[in-house]
Amino acid sequence: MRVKTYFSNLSLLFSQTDEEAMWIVKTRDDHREFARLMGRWEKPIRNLCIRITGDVHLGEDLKQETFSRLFEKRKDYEPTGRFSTYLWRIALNLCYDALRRRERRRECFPQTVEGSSEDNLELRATESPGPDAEAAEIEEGELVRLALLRLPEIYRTVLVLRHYEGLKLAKIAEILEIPEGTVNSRMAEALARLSRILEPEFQGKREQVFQTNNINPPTFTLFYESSQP
Amino acid sequence: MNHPNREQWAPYIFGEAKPEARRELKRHLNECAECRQELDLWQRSVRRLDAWELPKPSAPQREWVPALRWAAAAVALVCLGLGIGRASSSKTQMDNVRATIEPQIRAQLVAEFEAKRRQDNQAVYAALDRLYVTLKRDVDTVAVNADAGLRQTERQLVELASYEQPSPNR
Repeated sequence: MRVKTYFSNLSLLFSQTDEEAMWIVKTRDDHREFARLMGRWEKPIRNLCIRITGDVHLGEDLKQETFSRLFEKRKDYEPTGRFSTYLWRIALNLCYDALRRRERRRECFPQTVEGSSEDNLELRATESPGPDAEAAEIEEGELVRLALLRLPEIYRTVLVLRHYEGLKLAKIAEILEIPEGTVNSRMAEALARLSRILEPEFQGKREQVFQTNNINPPTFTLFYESSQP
Repeated sequence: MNHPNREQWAPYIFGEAKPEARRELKRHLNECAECRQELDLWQRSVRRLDAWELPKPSAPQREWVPALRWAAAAVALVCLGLGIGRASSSKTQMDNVRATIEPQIRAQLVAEFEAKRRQDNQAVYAALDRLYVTLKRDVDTVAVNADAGLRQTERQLVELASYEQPSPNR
């Protein structure tokens, strides 16, 4: 195990940085280098897209779209900052766009909305006035997913980036282009809201989660401030 | 009691608070039950986030894998056919077949060789003809030039023979 770690560290020493790899992609249209870059970042970007949208299929699509966008805009890449920041921003903006599209669709066609089974589950969960047999069987993971979806984007984003993606608060501030203090206050608000949603549910009061309470319903008007990279 | 700002708790919860800030917050937590209760709640919520596990991505099937399978199947089939053929044919049968086809193959080879030889001969003759024409033209040119030169020399000799020295008395 130690030998493996040693060789892993050694290979990292001689490997290219993401910035160098992206520079090669930009200047030489190097598909192989892009594939390597994609191999390194595929998993975290997939996870981010799924966590932000709460939808596995949509998240998978958005991951593909992120890398398509990255290659499409390769000539615009400037190695002034970290490549990872650039990539996270692309993915997040695509997620926000997708969520807005979905929200608009729901507003226009509230009765005939089509979506994945998860969408329907979410709708049932958020719209039903009280507990039902299905809600009672919802697993803890599903409860967490639904609770996160009920958070406004700005709070969900900081939680996902910090907890699931393991980014430091300073890095999150860099990605979102906001002061670190703002990240901290958003995180505190996110945790407070999340606790208000999850606590009763995990205490066995499932009916309180999906009923109208003093927590604002998901809103997509509080948009992410950063500009498209 | 003065409570810390809410935003100060975020770095504390995620283990990013600076040592000094961490000590102060810890001290406050020891004294303030209200903050302790809220922080416990938050930490519990953070732990609960782990309950949402994502399904593993489906491994993309490589495009060349089915082609490779078909190729392997084809090779196996050909090898099998050859093996069966060799195993089922006896040595006498092989000799008979060889004796039957040998004269035919020889005749075909001879015919092909003859045709090839004729073709080569024609090519050689054509090349020789072209060479002959070129050489003849060159030789004729040299002959004409030599003849003209000889005639000029002859004329000059005649002129030289009829040459008279002018008289000094004139």
